[in-house]
Amino acid sequence: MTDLASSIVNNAIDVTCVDVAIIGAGPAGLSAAIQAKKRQLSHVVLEASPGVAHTIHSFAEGKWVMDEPIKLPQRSGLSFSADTKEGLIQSWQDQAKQYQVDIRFNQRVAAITKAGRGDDLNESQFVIQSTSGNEYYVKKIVLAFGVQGKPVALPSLVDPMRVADYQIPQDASWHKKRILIVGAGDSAVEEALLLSKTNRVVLLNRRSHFERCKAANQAAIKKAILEKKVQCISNGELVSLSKSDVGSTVARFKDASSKKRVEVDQVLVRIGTQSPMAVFKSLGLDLVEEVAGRLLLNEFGETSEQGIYAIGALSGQSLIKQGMNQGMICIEHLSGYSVMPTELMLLQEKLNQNDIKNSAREVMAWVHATSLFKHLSESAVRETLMSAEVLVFEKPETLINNGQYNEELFLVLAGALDIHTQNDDNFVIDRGESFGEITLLSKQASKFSVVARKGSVILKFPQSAIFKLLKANQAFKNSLLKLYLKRSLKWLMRSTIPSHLLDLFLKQSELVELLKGQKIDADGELIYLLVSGSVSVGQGEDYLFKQGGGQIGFKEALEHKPLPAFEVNQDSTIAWALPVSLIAGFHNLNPELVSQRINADLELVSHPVPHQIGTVDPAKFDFFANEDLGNAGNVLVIDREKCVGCDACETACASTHDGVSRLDRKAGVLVDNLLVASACRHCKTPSCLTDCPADAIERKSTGEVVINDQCIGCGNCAESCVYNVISMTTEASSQWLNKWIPSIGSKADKPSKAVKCDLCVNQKNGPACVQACPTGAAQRINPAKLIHAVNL
Amino acid sequence: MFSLSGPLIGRYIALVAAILIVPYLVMQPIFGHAGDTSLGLFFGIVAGLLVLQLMFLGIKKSYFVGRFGSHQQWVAMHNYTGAALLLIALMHAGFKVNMNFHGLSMMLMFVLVASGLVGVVAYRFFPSLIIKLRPWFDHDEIIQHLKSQDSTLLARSSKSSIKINHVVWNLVQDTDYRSIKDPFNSSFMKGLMMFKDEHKQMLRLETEINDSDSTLAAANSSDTDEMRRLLKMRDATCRRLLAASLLQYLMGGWRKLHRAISSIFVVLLVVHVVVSFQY
Repeated sequence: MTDLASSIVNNAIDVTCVDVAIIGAGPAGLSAAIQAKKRQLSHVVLEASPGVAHTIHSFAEGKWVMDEPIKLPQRSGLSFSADTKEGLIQSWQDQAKQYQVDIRFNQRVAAITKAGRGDDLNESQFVIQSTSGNEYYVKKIVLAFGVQGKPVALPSLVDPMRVADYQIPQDASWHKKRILIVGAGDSAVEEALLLSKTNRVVLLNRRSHFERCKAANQAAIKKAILEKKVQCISNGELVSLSKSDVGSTVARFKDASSKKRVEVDQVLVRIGTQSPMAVFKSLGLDLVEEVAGRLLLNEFGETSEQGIYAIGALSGQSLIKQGMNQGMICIEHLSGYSVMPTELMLLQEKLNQNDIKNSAREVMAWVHATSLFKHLSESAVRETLMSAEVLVFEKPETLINNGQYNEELFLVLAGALDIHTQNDDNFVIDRGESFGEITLLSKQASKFSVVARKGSVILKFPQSAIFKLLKANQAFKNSLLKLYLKRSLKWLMRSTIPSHLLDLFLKQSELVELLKGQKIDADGELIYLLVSGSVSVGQGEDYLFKQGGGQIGFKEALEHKPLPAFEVNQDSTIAWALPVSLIAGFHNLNPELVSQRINADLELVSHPVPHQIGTVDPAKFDFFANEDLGNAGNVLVIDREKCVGCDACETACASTHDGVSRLDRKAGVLVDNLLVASACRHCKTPSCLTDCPADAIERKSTGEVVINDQCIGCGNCAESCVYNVISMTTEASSQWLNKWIPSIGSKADKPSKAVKCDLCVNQKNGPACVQACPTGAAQRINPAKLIHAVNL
Repeated sequence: MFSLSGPLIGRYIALVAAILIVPYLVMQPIFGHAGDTSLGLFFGIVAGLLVLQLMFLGIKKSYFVGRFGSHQQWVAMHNYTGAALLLIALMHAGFKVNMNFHGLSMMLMFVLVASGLVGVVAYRFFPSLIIKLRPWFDHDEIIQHLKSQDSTLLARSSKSSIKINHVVWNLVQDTDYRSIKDPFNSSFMKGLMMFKDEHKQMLRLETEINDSDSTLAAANSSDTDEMRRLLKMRDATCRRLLAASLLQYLMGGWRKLHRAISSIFVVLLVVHVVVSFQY
């Protein structure tokens, strides 16, 4: 008998030997388990909590869980359709029973090690030990435990009697209580705001600010503290928790000045969760360089350690459906079956629909080899391709019209794109080249039209996919910005600029980030090509407002005039800076071309309205800058000298949007008598769009930012919107009946979705609020027009 | 037609009305112009159609209809049509108002048109008046303004006699800031009552200050002057709030009144038509 065998017999530890161990009984893990069962692989699912889907279990009672995105096919054996949290968990439990999935609850993994020679039970590769002492000898491991993590607990010295809670109880028994919340991150702040509605809440923050929170949470908690809805103890450190004689909890803490105590009914600790990094390190798993804490995986979810897979949230896929599909794919792969990753499967379908003979893998490899995408990992390219649209042109067709907004990136697979500019300077985008970076990054309308040639095949990438890449991969961002510069220079200098000259410009240019309030003096040595943000150029009578796509000083350099001064209006204004000496040199090389350029239109994009604003009252301009109206695409302005308070605007908005008004006439910010009402501003850089996991928010070609039917009701957009103009609303299933008999059909049994102003994009006559105003007080205008109006 | 501006609509309607005057002046029925002549009947039909068009504004407002022009254009049309209706209806009746049921309808129409004129004036001037009366934007700003005035008043009064201090304290303590609602949503009568009480307190305080003036040392006279100034400001603030609230209340009240008179008029008009054709 081996040492191991005897220790099993003598100590009676539970030992299990299986082909695959799945750690985590969430939807991804259950999906993998069901697939393993189908493939007749022996398996075990280890779950740390007492039930399945622990993360979903912690959602609020009755919360509706969506099954978006609809376009993603369900490949898993575990069925999933939108339902309440309770319904979903019950369904999955039933299915797990039906498939006889072997789930071991309360089995938190303590360690995973590689099997040594002596532990050769069934040729296992790994040994998993649980905190309860059980051992699992497995050939393959699927990590599916999500990213929620075990909450970081208070040290036992601080909380010897374990009085603190780490989660709000599901039964909503915390009502009219005194609650102490320890922590200052998003979870602590969100729960403080939620609980303060029916309880007295004290928030203990180790620091003086809430810098770790999202912007919207920071603003909300500051407001709550000012309004005394939440009491905050800053720079405070919890010393001890104990129970008093009367059953309440006594919390002792110290702040900057002294030691204090507070008596409360409940203590909620939200000081973070344990990172799975320790597990990754112990297994020697490689991580993705650019994204902190993200595992490096192949297309089947396998890590750098053969035999270990990671699926679900651990792989960076936050949607339930994605994780479930991964569960199926990883089991197919580890059991030796041929399976195509979902991203490539979808791409293949698109290629087949368009009669393109190349396989998805070939296209992926080709895209990966292009100059823009070569810096990305294979998984990033795959994920990006999943959302791409394949466009085939059997005859020449206009892709983008002059004056249209475009926030997509195009990649030419075959054929070419012809770019027609207003200066009669035409460009050609050939096979392998990409286009759309100028309007994508500047967020302004195009000043050119783009026509696809006959026989062209174009890949169109949505803005959300590109923004994800820009956020995650610095090399990709650099490539795109360099492309922006190259195209801008060709535009400014004409497409026929000699390549050696273009290279010189490219080498000498530097990308700079300018901060709000920064002033650049006149007669400087640098010309700026604005990528994003906004500045005000000049002084006195000749004040100009410029945004992304604008240039400062180029024309003056050509004319040998002093460069203008300018002031930055927006934080994170990005620009390419070129030495003015380069342009002077260009002048000497090609004086004819220079004189032609002086008379040409040198703006790369269409500015929404004439942006010359004349002499500006500094206080009014400060208002404009402070409210970040430069980032707004369109604002609802109400002239209070005409507004009769009839609320026709709100009524009209509600009647054209399922009974839910998307604006608040009485809220907003005021300049002179113009109220910038609380309604969506259709920002140039909408934070709601970048934070949407379901790609449900998009910008139309005419500039409106709208939420489409793919919304899963996660509320990310509502939380990230700094103007609080997105609300979550439920739709009563029998709305018409509810109007007549309010008690019947009033139960909201449809899930909540995010709603906001969409500028009545589907209405022929434009915004209903403007249409409905009896005095013309309500207008939807571009902010540049607003400042012009205010200046009068 | 529906993309016309307000003044253009008015000119259009005035032209039509002017054209209609011509037959009135040219044609002279034997027994004079009256509602039962053919011309009178013609004008009656035109007036009826105008009334229907006037009614459509109410429907368009209640059930937002995105087509057929903006609400602003329809309001303009409504106003000019209402004025034209006066002329057409008078021509229908031969500029006679009899003391009978039909005359009653006519008189109610006069009242309605006059009400419309009041509305035009109110919509034109009241919003800017309200803004001038309460330059603060929102409820929180008003409350903040009052609170800061009151805390200054309290601070000053603490240096005065106990009596004055006591009255100021009562004044400030009795001010329920939460009940000072946004005039856009307030109950005017509630606001009026609150103002009345406060005004009484302020008058009492002023009396106390005046009485104590004679007994105070010279060093404290600046405090009492300052308190008088603050009291005046406080009084002015409350009056302005109340006036703004009153204007807002009147606008809301006018809308209700105009709708009510219109409804009664429509009923009377229907009866008028039925009776006229019957008899």
